[in-house]
Amino acid sequence: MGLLYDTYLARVYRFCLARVSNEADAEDLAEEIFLKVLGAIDGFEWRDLGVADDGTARSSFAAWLFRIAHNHVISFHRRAAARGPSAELSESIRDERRGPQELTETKLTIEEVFEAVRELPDAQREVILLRFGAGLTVAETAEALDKQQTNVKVLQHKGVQRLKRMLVEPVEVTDPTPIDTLARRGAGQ
Amino acid sequence: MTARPEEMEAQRLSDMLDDLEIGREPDLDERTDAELASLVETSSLLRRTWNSVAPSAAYISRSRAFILQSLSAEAEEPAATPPARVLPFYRRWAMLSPVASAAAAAAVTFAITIWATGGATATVAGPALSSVPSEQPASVASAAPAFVEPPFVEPARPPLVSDASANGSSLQAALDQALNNESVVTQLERIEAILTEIQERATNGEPVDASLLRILAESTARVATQIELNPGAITPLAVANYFHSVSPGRGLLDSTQVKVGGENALKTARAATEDGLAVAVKYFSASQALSNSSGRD
Repeated sequence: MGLLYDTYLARVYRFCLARVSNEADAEDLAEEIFLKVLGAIDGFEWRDLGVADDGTARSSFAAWLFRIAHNHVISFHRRAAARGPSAELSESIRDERRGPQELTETKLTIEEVFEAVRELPDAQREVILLRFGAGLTVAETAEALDKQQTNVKVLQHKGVQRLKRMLVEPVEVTDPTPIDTLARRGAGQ
Repeated sequence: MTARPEEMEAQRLSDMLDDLEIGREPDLDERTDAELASLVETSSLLRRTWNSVAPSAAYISRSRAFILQSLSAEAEEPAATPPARVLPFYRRWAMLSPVASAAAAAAVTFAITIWATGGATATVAGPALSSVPSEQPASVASAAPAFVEPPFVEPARPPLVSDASANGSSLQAALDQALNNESVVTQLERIEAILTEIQERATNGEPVDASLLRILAESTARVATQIELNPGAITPLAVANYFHSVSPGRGLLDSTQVKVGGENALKTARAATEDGLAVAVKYFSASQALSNSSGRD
């Protein structure tokens, strides 16, 4: 049990954090999801998910886990709707592995990215969160969201396009090579 | 059916991201494909950003202890444990099919080994289990004539087979049958040997051959299948050994470099190890619940 927890915790936590923007809520959610997953593991079937478009087998466990996570976060939002907005992201995210200078820059980038992701249409946001936040493959994302892989790829493409516009356009005004700038900022330089 | 331009662009981006995920530089010319290059860069930024976020060590420690304690307490509750749902083998065939070519190639290697060592020719009195069509009911398979087990020659190391397809159907059937009849211990030895090989290559900075990964995926999947299909016939010790053999493989495969063309084999091996671990955990979860339940009867 512990190994599964260790393997998936960070991915589940990131997925939750991007959805709720609040560290305390993300921690609570991740914990609840694990209790749900590990308590229900007897119901997990190594399902015949078929072979993906790219010829690879799908990891049914990751898809199963994040399907639970996805549904749990949706329930959380329903419950939270009556409680009002949560704390600001800037108050909550930290990365204890980095120094103060890097922390500030990374935090800003995280804020920007998470805010931009929240502006995406629902379907695109879910795909982006599972692909980049949870680290699922296209095949696993398709399984978790009960979508066709082609559909997931199109949503991923649209989502990344939109994020690029949101994250890069402010830089484009003054910088002729926004991608390089973006890359430097992402690297925390 | 022809893909729409939108789908083709989406597919191209997906292919580039697949390359990045396995640590390969995408084959992309930024001068002629600036739009796609910018999307790939944005995707990399997204991934880096997310990966820079981690739960605090204090939270991990606190939460881990809480969850494990909660599960232990829950397992001690007297509850009727439903029998584990078992999937027929044919439903797993899609999982094994990506590695079928490796099995076929291994068949040739195996047959050649027998031939070269002057061993007895493998004799098959009935159809090999794995040759039973997937649509065929299990009862038909069990009604097949008795199988005369061929002498098994265990190589010192797992065979590093190529992707050559096998034409000798009888030899392939013999090898498939032999693989199906291998003990869990043999499968575990193979898994450990392959992981050792992968570790050595990683240490030397060498990419891993796809066939090696396919055999790893196949062995991992076969043991998982045995655990799920017939949990009563496998000992907890064997499952524990399986768990401990496979668990380091999961992390190892995350950093494994594969030879060109072996990307799918790497993905399959990763999926097989992740699912194998989940199956082992499920086995122990069911065993613990059963033990607690019978202890109260």
